[in-house]
Amino acid sequence: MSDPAGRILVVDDEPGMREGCRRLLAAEGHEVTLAESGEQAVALFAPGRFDVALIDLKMPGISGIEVLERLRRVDPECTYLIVTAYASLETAVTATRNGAYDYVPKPFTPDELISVVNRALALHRLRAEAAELRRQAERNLLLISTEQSRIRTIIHSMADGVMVTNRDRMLVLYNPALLRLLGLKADLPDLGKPPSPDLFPADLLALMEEMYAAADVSMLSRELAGGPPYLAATISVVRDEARDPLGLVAVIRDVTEAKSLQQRMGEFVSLVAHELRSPLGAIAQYLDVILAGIASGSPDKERQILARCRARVQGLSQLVRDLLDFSRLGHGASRRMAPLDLREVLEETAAFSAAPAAQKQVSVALRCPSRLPLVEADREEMRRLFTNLVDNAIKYNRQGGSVEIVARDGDGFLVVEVIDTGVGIPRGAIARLGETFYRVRSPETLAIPGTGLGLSICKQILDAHNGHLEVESEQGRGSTFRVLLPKSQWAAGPAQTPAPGPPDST
Amino acid sequence: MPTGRVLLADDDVDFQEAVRLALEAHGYEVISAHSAAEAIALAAGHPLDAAVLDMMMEEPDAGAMAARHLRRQPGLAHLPIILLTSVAERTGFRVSLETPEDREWLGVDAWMDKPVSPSDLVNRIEELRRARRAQDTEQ
Repeated sequence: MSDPAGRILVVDDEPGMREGCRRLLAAEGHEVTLAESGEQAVALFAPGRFDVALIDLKMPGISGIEVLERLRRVDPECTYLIVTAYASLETAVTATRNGAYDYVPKPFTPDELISVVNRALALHRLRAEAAELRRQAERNLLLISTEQSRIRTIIHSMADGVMVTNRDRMLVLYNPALLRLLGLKADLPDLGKPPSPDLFPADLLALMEEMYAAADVSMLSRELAGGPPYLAATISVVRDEARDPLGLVAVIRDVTEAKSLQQRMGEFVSLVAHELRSPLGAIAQYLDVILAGIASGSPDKERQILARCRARVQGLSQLVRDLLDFSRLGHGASRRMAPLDLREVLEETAAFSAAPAAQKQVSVALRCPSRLPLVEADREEMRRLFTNLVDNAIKYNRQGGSVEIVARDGDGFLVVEVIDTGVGIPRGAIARLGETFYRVRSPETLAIPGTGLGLSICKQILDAHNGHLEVESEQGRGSTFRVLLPKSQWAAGPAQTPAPGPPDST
Repeated sequence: MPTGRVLLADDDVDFQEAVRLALEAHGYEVISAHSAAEAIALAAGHPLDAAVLDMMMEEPDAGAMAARHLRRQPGLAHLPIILLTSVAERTGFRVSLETPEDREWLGVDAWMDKPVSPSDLVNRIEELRRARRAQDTEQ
């Protein structure tokens, strides 16, 4: 046996006996400490210091029995052996009743001593191991209870509602989010009873019932009736190691946000589909006319048709560009706000509009004071905003009409007006102008290409800049689109020298 | 070569123009409307042999509603009316066009998908006119 050495205390008043024991036990590899009296033994004893104590029963001074008692009080874990002569056998038996492990009758052979000490040591080690296991078990129990409270905290702080029922359909757990989502305030559900149909939605209970009935399904997910808030339930089975169902966990999620996003997305997609369909239908119909040879007698007619197809394709390209802008602006991904002198942007806009204006024989004029208060704005988006407005003013103008861009310092706002002499907008249509894909339908606008996104884009840009768009119009006379942008705090007014604008990023 | 006057309503000027060219090439006189309201107004002033109406104009079902209105006008009870639709427009509106009852209720004799083949459109118009004439003779 390669057991580690034991730490052994020998208490005996006979020096020969002490020395004999020491020699024998040391030869076995044990660490031996000697005490020549009960008093000395008590003095050098300490908890955990010895594995085995060999106590002579008959000693002058305090007796072996008393030594045993006192040592046991100090260290109940130590294993005690009583050494005694035959004469005091009865006392030895008493001693074992009092907590000694065994006794060694005197005289004993060396083998007897070694064997009894080794047995005592083996016992001692078993006991120590058992004690260690006990301590580990206690630690594990503590861990489990900490884990339980941690899990409870997690479940209670979840945004999703959670409820658990056991195999007997009794409610065993729920969290505050469940109460909030189901709108339970006054009546709290009872634990240990089936979830009450008065408190829980019928379709949720039906779904759980379905789950109890289904042996081979491990998860069911369904949207619950009613709302808002719109709720979705996911029910899972909890199984033990033998795969037997222990109960159900229901997770209730608020899907209102996702649902409205889905709905808006669906609406947007069907709007886009419609916007794509009109030009595609027109192009396809023209191509059918060409293919049927209907215009083949007239090259002029054919060229006219192809030119219209070309224009509609350009319109589709513009629609794709606008859609991308529209989506980009919605995300606000690359917006860069900085103090900006709008005068430069307006000058560029007026310059770029020269070509389309000439085509329609419309004059474009910019009236802008030499010093404008700065605005806090994204340069690219401002360029887009005013390009859209000026393009519209040209597009919906009459031949030979005019477009005026007028900038001025308003009260707290910078004001830019785009004034046209065009067809005007019916009173009822003005409020709908910013709607996605909304276009005014009138005989005058039928042939004017447009995506119905331009003003939506303007509105998005202005919203992002805390700005505002006002529209005034008189049918047959023209419209005024008035942009109001909050002045940057960098410049208090035109009387002061404006702070320098950002370097041109183009 | 057929002859006759067709009311054509579509709010897309190019689509309108393309169908007009096709119908004119087949000998029809075409009266153009760009909305359901305009179609109804023009129908009041001209004797018609057929009407070809786009489903989606100022409202998503403007063509269907115009058809229902036209059908109930004096003298137009037997006017052949063809509705032009995109496949996706045929369902999901106030009425579906899939059942004969719905077409009857609307006063629509047929619907055709856009884009429509010029010869198919002409054949359909003539087919409906023949059926009407046969009906009229029976009565």
